[in-house]
Amino acid sequence: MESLSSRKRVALAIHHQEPDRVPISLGGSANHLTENLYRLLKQHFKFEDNGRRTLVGFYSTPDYTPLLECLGTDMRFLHLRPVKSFIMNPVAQNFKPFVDEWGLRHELLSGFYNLGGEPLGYLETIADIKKYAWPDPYLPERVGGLKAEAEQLYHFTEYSLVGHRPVYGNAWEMARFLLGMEKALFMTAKDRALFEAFFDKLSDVLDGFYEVFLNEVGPYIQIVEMAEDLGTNNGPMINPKFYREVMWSYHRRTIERIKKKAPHVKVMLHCDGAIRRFIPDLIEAGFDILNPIESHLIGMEPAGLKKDFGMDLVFMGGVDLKNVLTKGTRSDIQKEIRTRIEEMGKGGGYILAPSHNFTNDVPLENLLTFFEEGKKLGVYPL
Amino acid sequence: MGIPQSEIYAAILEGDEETVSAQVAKAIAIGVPAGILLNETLIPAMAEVGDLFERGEYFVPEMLVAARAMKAGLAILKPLLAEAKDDAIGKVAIGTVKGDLHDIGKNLVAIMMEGAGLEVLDMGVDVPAEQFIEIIEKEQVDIIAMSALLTTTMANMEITMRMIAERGLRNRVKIMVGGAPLSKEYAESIGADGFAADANQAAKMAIQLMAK
Repeated sequence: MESLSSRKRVALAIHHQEPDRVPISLGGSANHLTENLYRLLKQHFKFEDNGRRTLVGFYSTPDYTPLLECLGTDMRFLHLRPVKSFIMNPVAQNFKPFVDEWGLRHELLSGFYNLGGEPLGYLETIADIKKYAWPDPYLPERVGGLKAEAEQLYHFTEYSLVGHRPVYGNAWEMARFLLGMEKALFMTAKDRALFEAFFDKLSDVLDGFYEVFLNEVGPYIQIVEMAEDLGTNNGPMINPKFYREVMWSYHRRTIERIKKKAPHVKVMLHCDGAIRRFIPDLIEAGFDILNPIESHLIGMEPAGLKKDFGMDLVFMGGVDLKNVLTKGTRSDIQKEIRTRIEEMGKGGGYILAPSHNFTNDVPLENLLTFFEEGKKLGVYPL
Repeated sequence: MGIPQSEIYAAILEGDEETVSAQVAKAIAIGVPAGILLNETLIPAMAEVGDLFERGEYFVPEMLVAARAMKAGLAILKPLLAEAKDDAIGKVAIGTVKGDLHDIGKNLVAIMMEGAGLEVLDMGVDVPAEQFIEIIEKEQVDIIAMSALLTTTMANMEITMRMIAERGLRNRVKIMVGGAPLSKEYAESIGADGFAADANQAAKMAIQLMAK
Protein backbone atom coordinates (compact mmCIF):
# COMPACT_ATOMS: atom_id res chain seq x y z
CA MET A 1 0.00 0.00 0.00
CA GLU A 2 1.39 3.42 -0.80
CA SER A 3 1.88 5.88 1.98
CA LEU A 4 -1.31 7.26 3.46
CA SER A 5 -1.94 10.56 5.19
CA SER A 6 -1.97 10.39 8.97
CA ARG A 7 -5.70 11.05 8.95
CA LYS A 8 -6.45 8.15 6.60
CA ARG A 9 -4.01 5.92 8.47
CA VAL A 10 -5.68 6.50 11.81
CA ALA A 11 -9.16 6.30 10.25
CA LEU A 12 -8.46 2.79 9.02
CA ALA A 13 -6.82 1.67 12.25
CA ILE A 14 -9.68 2.88 14.43
CA HIS A 15 -12.20 1.17 12.17
CA HIS A 16 -10.39 -2.15 12.54
CA GLN A 17 -8.81 -2.14 9.12
CA GLU A 18 -5.16 -2.35 8.16
CA PRO A 19 -3.64 0.94 6.95
CA ASP A 20 -0.17 1.34 5.37
CA ARG A 21 1.47 1.09 8.76
CA VAL A 22 0.57 1.16 12.46
CA PRO A 23 -0.06 4.77 13.52
CA ILE A 24 2.16 6.18 16.26
CA SER A 25 1.44 8.99 18.70
CA LEU A 26 2.80 11.28 21.39
CA GLY A 27 0.59 13.62 23.31
CA GLY A 28 -2.98 13.84 24.40
CA SER A 29 -4.31 11.91 27.36
CA ALA A 30 -2.40 8.85 26.15
CA ASN A 31 1.09 9.92 27.01
CA HIS A 32 3.18 13.01 27.47
CA LEU A 33 6.66 14.07 28.47
CA THR A 34 8.26 15.60 31.50
CA GLU A 35 9.35 19.22 31.09
CA ASN A 36 12.91 17.96 31.28
CA LEU A 37 12.47 15.55 28.37
CA TYR A 38 10.77 18.27 26.35
CA ARG A 39 13.81 20.50 26.93
CA LEU A 40 16.20 17.73 25.87
CA LEU A 41 14.18 17.10 22.72
CA LYS A 42 14.15 20.80 21.95
CA GLN A 43 17.94 20.88 22.25
CA HIS A 44 18.22 17.81 20.06
CA PHE A 45 15.91 18.87 17.26
CA LYS A 46 16.58 22.60 17.64
CA PHE A 47 12.92 23.45 16.98
CA GLU A 48 11.37 26.76 17.91
CA ASP A 49 9.06 26.64 20.89
CA ASN A 50 5.80 28.34 19.85
CA GLY A 51 5.44 29.94 23.28
CA ARG A 52 2.04 28.42 23.96
CA ARG A 53 1.06 26.11 26.79
CA THR A 54 -1.85 23.72 26.45
CA LEU A 55 -4.14 22.39 29.16
CA VAL A 56 -3.57 18.66 29.67
CA GLY A 57 -5.59 17.02 32.44
CA PHE A 58 -5.24 19.32 35.43
CA TYR A 59 -1.99 20.95 34.38
CA SER A 60 -0.27 22.30 31.31
CA THR A 61 2.59 21.46 29.01
CA PRO A 62 4.29 23.40 26.24
CA ASP A 63 2.37 23.03 22.99
CA TYR A 64 3.89 19.89 21.48
CA THR A 65 3.15 20.81 17.85
CA PRO A 66 6.72 21.77 16.79
CA LEU A 67 8.05 18.62 18.49
CA LEU A 68 5.47 16.36 16.87
CA GLU A 69 6.54 17.68 13.47
CA CYS A 70 10.10 16.55 14.23
CA LEU A 71 9.03 13.13 15.54
CA GLY A 72 6.65 12.55 12.65
CA THR A 73 3.71 11.33 14.72
CA ASP A 74 0.19 10.98 13.34
CA MET A 75 -2.03 12.83 15.77
CA ARG A 76 -2.46 16.49 16.62
CA PHE A 77 -4.53 17.61 19.56
CA LEU A 78 -7.16 20.20 20.25
CA HIS A 79 -7.40 21.49 23.81
CA LEU A 80 -10.12 23.32 25.68
CA ARG A 81 -8.82 26.69 26.90
CA PRO A 82 -8.13 27.34 30.59
CA VAL A 83 -10.24 29.91 32.39
CA LYS A 84 -8.65 33.21 33.43
CA SER A 85 -8.13 32.07 37.03
CA PHE A 86 -6.09 29.04 35.95
CA ILE A 87 -2.33 29.53 36.12
CA MET A 88 -0.52 27.66 33.31
CA ASN A 89 2.41 26.69 35.52
CA PRO A 90 5.56 24.96 34.44
CA VAL A 91 6.56 22.07 36.69
CA ALA A 92 9.58 23.37 38.66
CA GLN A 93 10.80 26.97 38.61
CA ASN A 94 8.32 29.80 39.01
CA PHE A 95 5.49 27.49 40.01
CA LYS A 96 2.69 29.59 41.48
CA PRO A 97 0.29 27.62 43.68
CA PHE A 98 -3.34 28.57 43.26
CA VAL A 99 -6.90 27.46 43.97
CA ASP A 100 -8.99 26.73 40.88
CA GLU A 101 -12.67 27.00 39.96
CA TRP A 102 -13.38 23.62 41.59
CA GLY A 103 -11.81 24.71 44.88
CA LEU A 104 -8.84 22.43 44.24
CA ARG A 105 -5.38 23.57 45.26
CA HIS A 106 -2.65 23.29 42.64
CA GLU A 107 0.77 22.76 44.17
CA LEU A 108 4.12 21.07 43.70
CA LEU A 109 4.70 18.04 45.87
CA SER A 110 8.26 16.76 45.76
CA GLY A 111 8.63 17.77 42.15
CA PHE A 112 5.26 16.47 41.08
CA TYR A 113 2.24 18.58 40.20
CA ASN A 114 -0.39 17.79 42.82
CA LEU A 115 -4.08 18.58 43.33
CA GLY A 116 -5.05 19.05 46.94
CA GLY A 117 -7.69 20.59 49.14
CA GLU A 118 -10.50 18.02 48.94
CA PRO A 119 -13.07 20.80 48.64
CA LEU A 120 -16.02 18.43 49.01
CA GLY A 121 -14.49 16.35 51.79
CA TYR A 122 -17.35 17.49 54.03
CA LEU A 123 -20.03 15.92 51.82
CA GLU A 124 -22.72 14.40 54.01
CA THR A 125 -26.09 15.15 52.42
CA ILE A 126 -27.85 15.61 49.11
CA ALA A 127 -28.25 19.26 50.05
CA ASP A 128 -24.45 19.59 50.12
CA ILE A 129 -24.40 18.48 46.48
CA LYS A 130 -26.99 21.06 45.50
CA LYS A 131 -25.32 23.91 47.41
CA TYR A 132 -21.82 23.37 46.02
CA ALA A 133 -20.47 26.05 43.70
CA TRP A 134 -20.08 23.87 40.63
CA PRO A 135 -17.98 25.40 37.83
CA ASP A 136 -19.84 26.69 34.79
CA PRO A 137 -18.85 24.75 31.65
CA TYR A 138 -20.49 27.35 29.44
CA LEU A 139 -18.06 30.24 30.06
CA PRO A 140 -17.14 31.59 26.61
CA GLU A 141 -13.45 31.92 27.54
CA ARG A 142 -13.15 28.12 27.45
CA VAL A 143 -13.60 28.01 23.68
CA GLY A 144 -11.87 31.18 22.46
CA GLY A 145 -10.27 30.55 19.07
CA LEU A 146 -10.91 26.83 19.29
CA LYS A 147 -13.12 26.44 16.24
CA ALA A 148 -10.75 28.46 14.06
CA GLU A 149 -7.84 26.33 15.21
CA ALA A 150 -9.76 23.12 14.48
CA GLU A 151 -10.77 24.33 11.03
CA GLN A 152 -7.22 25.35 10.20
CA LEU A 153 -5.85 21.95 11.17
CA TYR A 154 -8.67 20.13 9.42
CA HIS A 155 -8.52 21.93 6.10
CA PHE A 156 -4.81 22.69 5.83
CA THR A 157 -3.16 19.62 7.31
CA GLU A 158 -3.66 15.88 6.96
CA TYR A 159 -3.08 14.99 10.58
CA SER A 160 -5.45 12.88 12.60
CA LEU A 161 -7.18 15.33 14.92
CA VAL A 162 -7.91 14.29 18.48
CA GLY A 163 -9.89 16.15 21.11
CA HIS A 164 -7.82 16.12 24.28
CA ARG A 165 -10.14 15.49 27.21
CA PRO A 166 -11.72 18.86 28.13
CA VAL A 167 -11.79 17.92 31.82
CA TYR A 168 -9.12 17.14 34.43
CA GLY A 169 -10.47 13.60 34.46
CA ASN A 170 -13.88 11.98 34.26
CA ALA A 171 -16.23 11.47 37.16
CA TRP A 172 -14.32 8.88 39.21
CA GLU A 173 -11.06 10.84 38.84
CA MET A 174 -12.79 14.05 39.85
CA ALA A 175 -14.67 12.36 42.69
CA ARG A 176 -11.35 11.38 44.20
CA PHE A 177 -9.92 14.88 43.89
CA LEU A 178 -13.04 16.55 45.29
CA LEU A 179 -13.87 14.12 48.10
CA GLY A 180 -10.38 12.89 48.87
CA MET A 181 -9.34 9.40 47.87
CA GLU A 182 -10.13 7.68 51.14
CA LYS A 183 -13.61 9.18 51.44
CA ALA A 184 -14.40 8.38 47.81
CA LEU A 185 -13.36 4.75 48.24
CA PHE A 186 -15.20 4.50 51.54
CA MET A 187 -18.41 5.88 50.04
CA THR A 188 -18.44 3.30 47.27
CA ALA A 189 -18.67 0.63 49.96
CA LYS A 190 -20.74 2.34 52.63
CA ASP A 191 -22.70 5.27 51.24
CA ARG A 192 -23.85 4.25 47.80
CA ALA A 193 -26.96 6.40 47.55
CA LEU A 194 -25.15 9.60 48.39
CA PHE A 195 -22.19 8.63 46.22
CA GLU A 196 -24.48 8.00 43.27
CA ALA A 197 -26.29 11.31 43.69
CA PHE A 198 -22.90 13.06 43.81
CA PHE A 199 -21.55 11.07 40.84
CA ASP A 200 -24.66 11.84 38.79
CA LYS A 201 -24.31 15.58 39.34
CA LEU A 202 -20.54 15.59 38.83
CA SER A 203 -20.78 13.54 35.64
CA ASP A 204 -23.45 15.90 34.34
CA VAL A 205 -21.27 18.97 34.98
CA LEU A 206 -18.33 17.30 33.21
CA ASP A 207 -20.59 16.44 30.27
CA GLY A 208 -21.16 20.18 29.91
CA PHE A 209 -17.43 20.58 29.23
CA TYR A 210 -17.66 17.93 26.49
CA GLU A 211 -20.70 19.66 25.04
CA VAL A 212 -19.05 23.05 24.62
CA PHE A 213 -15.85 21.42 23.38
CA LEU A 214 -17.60 19.32 20.76
CA ASN A 215 -19.68 22.29 19.67
CA GLU A 216 -16.41 23.77 18.41
CA VAL A 217 -14.26 20.79 17.39
CA GLY A 218 -16.74 17.94 16.91
CA PRO A 219 -16.94 17.99 13.10
CA TYR A 220 -13.13 18.01 12.75
CA ILE A 221 -11.88 15.34 15.13
CA GLN A 222 -11.67 11.58 14.76
CA ILE A 223 -11.23 10.77 18.44
CA VAL A 224 -12.22 12.35 21.74
CA GLU A 225 -10.65 11.32 25.02
CA MET A 226 -11.88 10.38 28.49
CA ALA A 227 -9.76 9.42 31.51
CA GLU A 228 -10.44 7.40 34.62
CA ASP A 229 -8.30 5.42 37.05
CA LEU A 230 -10.14 2.23 37.83
CA GLY A 231 -7.18 0.00 38.56
CA THR A 232 -4.15 -0.36 40.73
CA ASN A 233 -1.01 -2.25 39.69
CA ASN A 234 -2.54 -5.40 41.10
CA GLY A 235 -6.18 -5.28 40.16
CA PRO A 236 -9.36 -3.22 40.32
CA MET A 237 -9.27 -0.25 42.68
CA ILE A 238 -13.01 -0.38 43.22
CA ASN A 239 -15.35 -3.35 43.21
CA PRO A 240 -16.17 -4.14 39.54
CA LYS A 241 -19.67 -4.98 40.69
CA PHE A 242 -19.98 -1.45 42.06
CA TYR A 243 -18.65 -0.05 38.81
CA ARG A 244 -21.31 -1.90 36.86
CA GLU A 245 -24.16 -1.16 39.24
CA VAL A 246 -23.46 2.51 39.80
CA MET A 247 -20.74 4.27 37.80
CA TRP A 248 -21.19 2.51 34.51
CA SER A 249 -24.52 4.12 33.59
CA TYR A 250 -23.00 7.56 33.90
CA HIS A 251 -20.06 6.63 31.67
CA ARG A 252 -22.60 5.31 29.20
CA ARG A 253 -24.61 8.50 29.44
CA THR A 254 -21.51 10.59 28.78
CA ILE A 255 -20.62 8.52 25.72
CA GLU A 256 -24.19 8.59 24.40
CA ARG A 257 -24.18 12.37 24.67
CA ILE A 258 -20.79 12.57 22.93
CA LYS A 259 -21.92 10.30 20.09
CA LYS A 260 -25.22 12.08 19.69
CA LYS A 261 -23.34 15.30 19.14
CA ALA A 262 -20.54 13.81 17.02
CA PRO A 263 -21.63 10.38 15.73
CA HIS A 264 -18.43 9.81 13.74
CA VAL A 265 -16.12 10.28 16.72
CA LYS A 266 -14.45 7.36 18.49
CA VAL A 267 -14.12 7.58 22.26
CA MET A 268 -10.77 6.76 23.80
CA LEU A 269 -10.41 5.79 27.45
CA HIS A 270 -7.12 6.43 29.21
CA CYS A 271 -7.14 4.12 32.21
CA ASP A 272 -4.03 2.81 33.96
CA GLY A 273 -3.69 -0.36 35.93
CA ALA A 274 -4.74 -3.98 35.88
CA ILE A 275 -8.26 -3.31 34.60
CA ARG A 276 -9.16 -6.43 32.64
CA ARG A 277 -12.16 -7.15 34.80
CA PHE A 278 -13.77 -3.89 33.76
CA ILE A 279 -13.25 -4.33 30.03
CA PRO A 280 -16.52 -6.07 29.07
CA ASP A 281 -18.42 -3.30 30.84
CA LEU A 282 -16.27 -0.62 29.24
CA ILE A 283 -17.08 -2.04 25.83
CA GLU A 284 -20.77 -2.04 26.66
CA ALA A 285 -20.58 1.55 27.87
CA GLY A 286 -19.43 2.47 24.36
CA PHE A 287 -15.69 3.05 24.70
CA ASP A 288 -13.94 2.39 21.37
CA ILE A 289 -10.24 2.75 22.16
CA LEU A 290 -8.32 1.66 25.27
CA ASN A 291 -5.04 3.22 26.42
CA PRO A 292 -2.24 2.93 27.73
CA ILE A 293 -2.19 -0.86 28.19
CA GLU A 294 0.31 -1.48 30.97
CA SER A 295 1.36 -4.73 29.41
CA HIS A 296 3.41 -6.06 32.34
CA LEU A 297 0.42 -6.13 34.70
CA ILE A 298 -1.70 -9.22 35.39
CA GLY A 299 -4.49 -9.57 32.87
CA MET A 300 -3.08 -6.87 30.62
CA GLU A 301 -1.01 -9.19 28.42
CA PRO A 302 -1.46 -7.74 24.94
CA ALA A 303 -2.01 -11.00 23.06
CA GLY A 304 -4.79 -11.99 25.44
CA LEU A 305 -6.45 -8.59 25.25
CA LYS A 306 -6.40 -8.67 21.46
CA LYS A 307 -7.82 -12.18 21.41
CA ASP A 308 -10.62 -11.52 23.85
CA PHE A 309 -11.50 -7.92 23.08
CA GLY A 310 -9.85 -7.05 19.77
CA MET A 311 -13.10 -7.18 17.84
CA ASP A 312 -14.62 -4.49 20.01
CA LEU A 313 -11.69 -2.37 21.11
CA VAL A 314 -8.84 -0.54 19.47
CA PHE A 315 -5.70 -0.65 21.59
CA MET A 316 -3.30 2.24 21.95
CA GLY A 317 -0.10 1.75 23.92
CA GLY A 318 1.52 -1.30 25.42
CA VAL A 319 5.18 -0.67 24.52
CA ASP A 320 6.83 -1.30 27.85
CA LEU A 321 8.14 1.82 29.51
CA LYS A 322 9.25 0.62 32.92
CA ASN A 323 11.91 -1.75 31.63
CA VAL A 324 12.36 -1.67 27.87
CA LEU A 325 12.13 2.03 27.10
CA THR A 326 13.91 2.96 30.33
CA LYS A 327 16.74 0.44 30.37
CA GLY A 328 16.70 -1.29 26.97
CA THR A 329 19.04 -1.11 24.01
CA ARG A 330 17.96 -0.25 20.47
CA SER A 331 17.64 -3.94 19.79
CA ASP A 332 15.43 -4.46 22.87
CA ILE A 333 13.19 -1.63 21.77
CA GLN A 334 12.91 -2.98 18.24
CA LYS A 335 12.00 -6.38 19.63
CA GLU A 336 9.38 -4.93 21.96
CA ILE A 337 7.80 -2.87 19.17
CA ARG A 338 7.77 -5.86 16.80
CA THR A 339 6.20 -8.06 19.47
CA ARG A 340 3.52 -5.55 20.30
CA ILE A 341 2.66 -5.07 16.64
CA GLU A 342 2.43 -8.81 16.06
CA GLU A 343 0.27 -9.24 19.15
CA MET A 344 -2.06 -6.31 18.61
CA GLY A 345 -1.74 -5.10 15.03
CA LYS A 346 -3.50 -7.75 12.97
CA GLY A 347 -6.56 -6.41 11.26
CA GLY A 348 -5.70 -2.88 12.34
CA GLY A 349 -7.09 -1.73 15.66
CA TYR A 350 -3.69 -0.81 17.10
CA ILE A 351 -1.84 2.46 17.63
CA LEU A 352 1.76 2.46 18.85
CA ALA A 353 2.38 4.26 22.12
CA PRO A 354 4.24 3.56 25.37
CA SER A 355 2.60 1.79 28.30
CA HIS A 356 2.73 4.97 30.34
CA ASN A 357 3.92 8.59 30.31
CA PHE A 358 7.58 9.14 29.44
CA THR A 359 9.47 9.67 32.68
CA ASN A 360 12.78 11.40 33.36
CA ASP A 361 14.67 8.14 33.51
CA VAL A 362 13.92 7.29 29.87
CA PRO A 363 17.14 8.13 28.01
CA LEU A 364 16.65 10.59 25.15
CA GLU A 365 18.24 8.04 22.81
CA ASN A 366 15.55 5.48 23.64
CA LEU A 367 12.73 7.92 23.17
CA LEU A 368 14.04 8.83 19.73
CA THR A 369 14.52 5.14 18.92
CA PHE A 370 10.90 4.42 19.82
CA PHE A 371 9.57 6.95 17.33
CA GLU A 372 12.05 6.06 14.59
CA GLU A 373 11.61 2.32 14.84
CA GLY A 374 7.88 2.56 15.44
CA LYS A 375 7.38 4.09 12.03
CA LYS A 376 9.70 1.57 10.32
CA LEU A 377 8.49 -1.62 11.95
CA GLY A 378 4.75 -1.22 11.68
CA VAL A 379 4.35 -1.62 7.93
CA TYR A 380 1.39 -3.69 6.73
CA PRO A 381 0.92 -6.43 5.75
CA LEU A 382 2.60 -7.72 8.91
CA MET B 1 -17.47 -18.93 68.81
CA GLY B 2 -20.25 -17.46 70.98
CA ILE B 3 -23.06 -15.37 69.60
CA PRO B 4 -21.63 -11.89 70.15
CA GLN B 5 -18.34 -13.10 68.67
CA SER B 6 -19.88 -14.45 65.51
CA GLU B 7 -21.82 -11.18 65.18
CA ILE B 8 -18.59 -9.26 65.57
CA TYR B 9 -16.88 -11.44 62.97
CA ALA B 10 -19.70 -10.96 60.47
CA ALA B 11 -19.92 -7.23 61.16
CA ILE B 12 -16.20 -6.80 60.49
CA LEU B 13 -16.57 -8.53 57.13
CA GLU B 14 -19.52 -6.27 56.37
CA GLY B 15 -17.66 -3.17 57.50
CA ASP B 16 -20.43 -2.47 60.00
CA GLU B 17 -18.61 -0.26 62.50
CA GLU B 18 -21.65 0.32 64.73
CA THR B 19 -22.40 -3.33 65.21
CA VAL B 20 -18.75 -4.15 65.86
CA SER B 21 -18.52 -1.50 68.58
CA ALA B 22 -21.83 -2.51 70.14
CA GLN B 23 -21.12 -6.23 70.13
CA VAL B 24 -17.54 -5.87 71.38
CA ALA B 25 -18.84 -3.81 74.29
CA LYS B 26 -21.53 -6.42 74.92
CA ALA B 27 -19.02 -9.27 74.84
CA ILE B 28 -16.75 -7.48 77.31
CA ALA B 29 -19.75 -6.82 79.55
CA ILE B 30 -20.65 -10.51 79.67
CA GLY B 31 -17.08 -11.40 80.58
CA VAL B 32 -15.40 -12.48 77.34
CA PRO B 33 -11.69 -11.65 77.81
CA ALA B 34 -10.30 -8.93 75.57
CA GLY B 35 -7.43 -11.18 74.50
CA ILE B 36 -9.88 -13.85 73.33
CA LEU B 37 -11.88 -11.33 71.35
CA LEU B 38 -8.69 -10.09 69.73
CA ASN B 39 -7.15 -13.45 68.92
CA GLU B 40 -10.25 -15.49 68.18
CA THR B 41 -12.52 -12.94 66.54
CA LEU B 42 -10.86 -9.73 65.33
CA ILE B 43 -7.65 -11.23 63.99
CA PRO B 44 -9.32 -14.15 62.16
CA ALA B 45 -11.94 -11.78 60.74
CA MET B 46 -9.21 -9.57 59.28
CA ALA B 47 -7.40 -12.65 58.00
CA GLU B 48 -10.53 -13.58 56.09
CA VAL B 49 -10.81 -10.02 54.76
CA GLY B 50 -7.25 -10.42 53.55
CA ASP B 51 -8.06 -13.75 51.91
CA LEU B 52 -11.13 -12.31 50.21
CA PHE B 53 -8.90 -9.54 48.86
CA GLU B 54 -6.31 -12.07 47.63
CA ARG B 55 -9.07 -14.04 45.93
CA GLY B 56 -10.29 -10.93 44.13
CA GLU B 57 -13.64 -10.82 45.89
CA TYR B 58 -12.89 -7.86 48.12
CA PHE B 59 -11.25 -4.71 46.83
CA VAL B 60 -9.66 -1.69 48.45
CA PRO B 61 -13.02 -0.14 49.50
CA GLU B 62 -14.19 -3.34 51.18
CA MET B 63 -10.84 -3.72 52.96
CA LEU B 64 -11.01 -0.11 54.07
CA VAL B 65 -14.48 -0.37 55.60
CA ALA B 66 -13.74 -3.73 57.23
CA ALA B 67 -10.49 -2.37 58.62
CA ARG B 68 -12.23 0.66 60.06
CA ALA B 69 -14.88 -1.50 61.66
CA MET B 70 -12.22 -3.73 63.18
CA LYS B 71 -10.36 -0.66 64.42
CA ALA B 72 -13.49 0.51 66.21
CA GLY B 73 -13.64 -2.78 68.06
CA LEU B 74 -9.91 -2.72 68.75
CA ALA B 75 -10.20 0.73 70.29
CA ILE B 76 -12.49 -0.73 72.96
CA LEU B 77 -10.13 -3.64 73.58
CA LYS B 78 -6.82 -1.74 73.71
CA PRO B 79 -7.00 -0.40 77.27
CA LEU B 80 -8.16 -3.81 78.50
CA LEU B 81 -5.34 -5.56 76.67
CA ALA B 82 -2.76 -3.20 78.19
CA GLU B 83 -4.22 -3.86 81.63
CA ALA B 84 -3.98 -7.58 81.15
CA LYS B 85 -0.50 -7.11 79.66
CA ASP B 86 -1.52 -9.04 76.61
CA ASP B 87 1.54 -8.83 74.44
CA ALA B 88 1.34 -7.90 70.84
CA ILE B 89 3.21 -10.13 68.43
CA GLY B 90 5.52 -7.23 67.66
CA LYS B 91 5.77 -3.47 67.42
CA VAL B 92 5.81 -1.64 64.10
CA ALA B 93 6.45 2.01 63.37
CA ILE B 94 5.01 2.97 60.00
CA GLY B 95 5.24 6.20 58.08
CA THR B 96 5.27 7.78 54.66
CA VAL B 97 8.73 9.17 53.92
CA LYS B 98 9.84 12.77 53.86
CA GLY B 99 8.33 14.88 51.11
CA ASP B 100 5.48 12.48 50.50
CA LEU B 101 1.94 13.06 51.73
CA HIS B 102 0.26 9.94 50.35
CA ASP B 103 -1.28 7.91 53.11
CA ILE B 104 -4.17 5.71 52.11
CA GLY B 105 -2.01 2.69 51.46
CA LYS B 106 -0.01 3.33 54.58
CA ASN B 107 -3.20 3.73 56.65
CA LEU B 108 -4.59 0.49 55.33
CA VAL B 109 -1.32 -1.33 56.05
CA ALA B 110 -1.36 0.04 59.60
CA ILE B 111 -4.85 -1.29 60.26
CA MET B 112 -4.20 -4.64 58.58
CA MET B 113 -1.09 -5.01 60.77
CA GLU B 114 -3.13 -4.22 63.87
CA GLY B 115 -5.68 -6.69 62.66
CA ALA B 116 -2.92 -9.27 62.52
CA GLY B 117 -2.04 -8.71 66.18
CA LEU B 118 0.85 -6.25 65.87
CA GLU B 119 1.16 -3.03 67.82
CA VAL B 120 1.41 -0.20 65.33
CA LEU B 121 2.74 3.32 65.82
CA ASP B 122 1.51 5.40 62.89
CA MET B 123 4.02 8.20 62.32
CA GLY B 124 1.93 9.84 59.64
CA VAL B 125 3.30 11.37 56.48
CA ASP B 126 6.32 13.42 55.46
CA VAL B 127 8.46 11.62 58.05
CA PRO B 128 12.14 12.58 58.00
CA ALA B 129 14.89 10.05 58.68
CA GLU B 130 15.61 11.59 62.09
CA GLN B 131 12.12 10.77 63.24
CA PHE B 132 12.44 7.11 62.22
CA ILE B 133 15.73 7.00 64.13
CA GLU B 134 14.16 8.61 67.18
CA ILE B 135 11.33 6.10 67.30
CA ILE B 136 13.73 3.15 67.09
CA GLU B 137 15.65 4.56 70.03
CA LYS B 138 12.66 5.59 72.12
CA GLU B 139 10.02 2.99 71.45
CA GLN B 140 12.00 -0.21 70.91
CA VAL B 141 10.13 -1.01 67.74
CA ASP B 142 10.78 -4.31 66.03
CA ILE B 143 9.94 -3.21 62.52
CA ILE B 144 10.19 0.01 60.57
CA ALA B 145 7.74 0.18 57.66
CA MET B 146 8.22 2.92 55.07
CA SER B 147 5.83 3.98 52.33
CA ALA B 148 6.44 6.20 49.29
CA LEU B 149 4.25 6.90 46.31
CA LEU B 150 6.49 9.17 44.27
CA THR B 151 9.63 8.23 42.38
CA THR B 152 11.21 11.37 43.81
CA THR B 153 10.51 10.52 47.45
CA MET B 154 11.50 6.86 47.12
CA ALA B 155 15.09 8.05 47.43
CA ASN B 156 14.34 9.05 51.01
CA MET B 157 13.94 5.39 51.90
CA GLU B 158 17.54 4.77 51.04
CA ILE B 159 18.64 7.88 52.90
CA THR B 160 16.67 6.84 55.96
CA MET B 161 18.19 3.37 55.92
CA ARG B 162 21.69 4.76 55.52
CA MET B 163 21.20 7.05 58.48
CA ILE B 164 19.82 4.22 60.59
CA ALA B 165 22.93 2.20 59.74
CA GLU B 166 25.24 5.12 60.46
CA ARG B 167 23.66 5.42 63.88
CA GLY B 168 24.45 1.77 64.55
CA LEU B 169 20.79 0.87 64.76
CA ARG B 170 20.41 -1.31 61.66
CA ASN B 171 20.58 -4.58 63.54
CA ARG B 172 17.94 -3.46 66.02
CA VAL B 173 15.10 -3.43 63.53
CA LYS B 174 13.71 -5.12 60.47
CA ILE B 175 12.92 -2.69 57.70
CA MET B 176 10.14 -3.19 55.17
CA VAL B 177 9.04 -0.94 52.34
CA GLY B 178 6.08 -0.50 50.05
CA GLY B 179 4.31 1.82 47.65
CA ALA B 180 3.32 1.81 44.00
CA PRO B 181 6.67 2.82 42.41
CA LEU B 182 8.57 0.19 44.41
CA SER B 183 9.43 -3.38 43.59
CA LYS B 184 10.96 -6.37 45.31
CA GLU B 185 14.14 -5.73 43.31
CA TYR B 186 14.33 -2.15 44.48
CA ALA B 187 13.74 -3.17 48.10
CA GLU B 188 16.52 -5.74 47.84
CA SER B 189 18.86 -3.25 46.19
CA ILE B 190 18.55 -0.85 49.11
CA GLY B 191 18.98 -3.59 51.68
CA ALA B 192 15.43 -3.69 53.04
CA ASP B 193 14.33 -6.88 54.77
CA GLY B 194 10.99 -7.01 53.04
CA PHE B 195 8.71 -5.56 50.40
CA ALA B 196 4.95 -5.92 50.09
CA ALA B 197 2.73 -5.10 47.13
CA ASP B 198 -0.46 -4.54 49.10
CA ALA B 199 -1.75 -4.09 52.64
CA ASN B 200 -2.67 -7.73 53.07
CA GLN B 201 0.80 -8.89 51.98
CA ALA B 202 2.35 -6.26 54.24
CA ALA B 203 0.63 -7.62 57.34
CA LYS B 204 1.75 -11.14 56.46
CA MET B 205 5.30 -9.97 55.81
CA ALA B 206 5.47 -8.21 59.17
CA ILE B 207 4.39 -11.40 60.94
CA GLN B 208 7.03 -13.31 58.98
CA LEU B 209 9.71 -10.80 59.91
CA MET B 210 8.78 -11.16 63.59
CA ALA B 211 9.25 -14.90 63.34
CA LYS B 212 12.85 -14.50 62.10
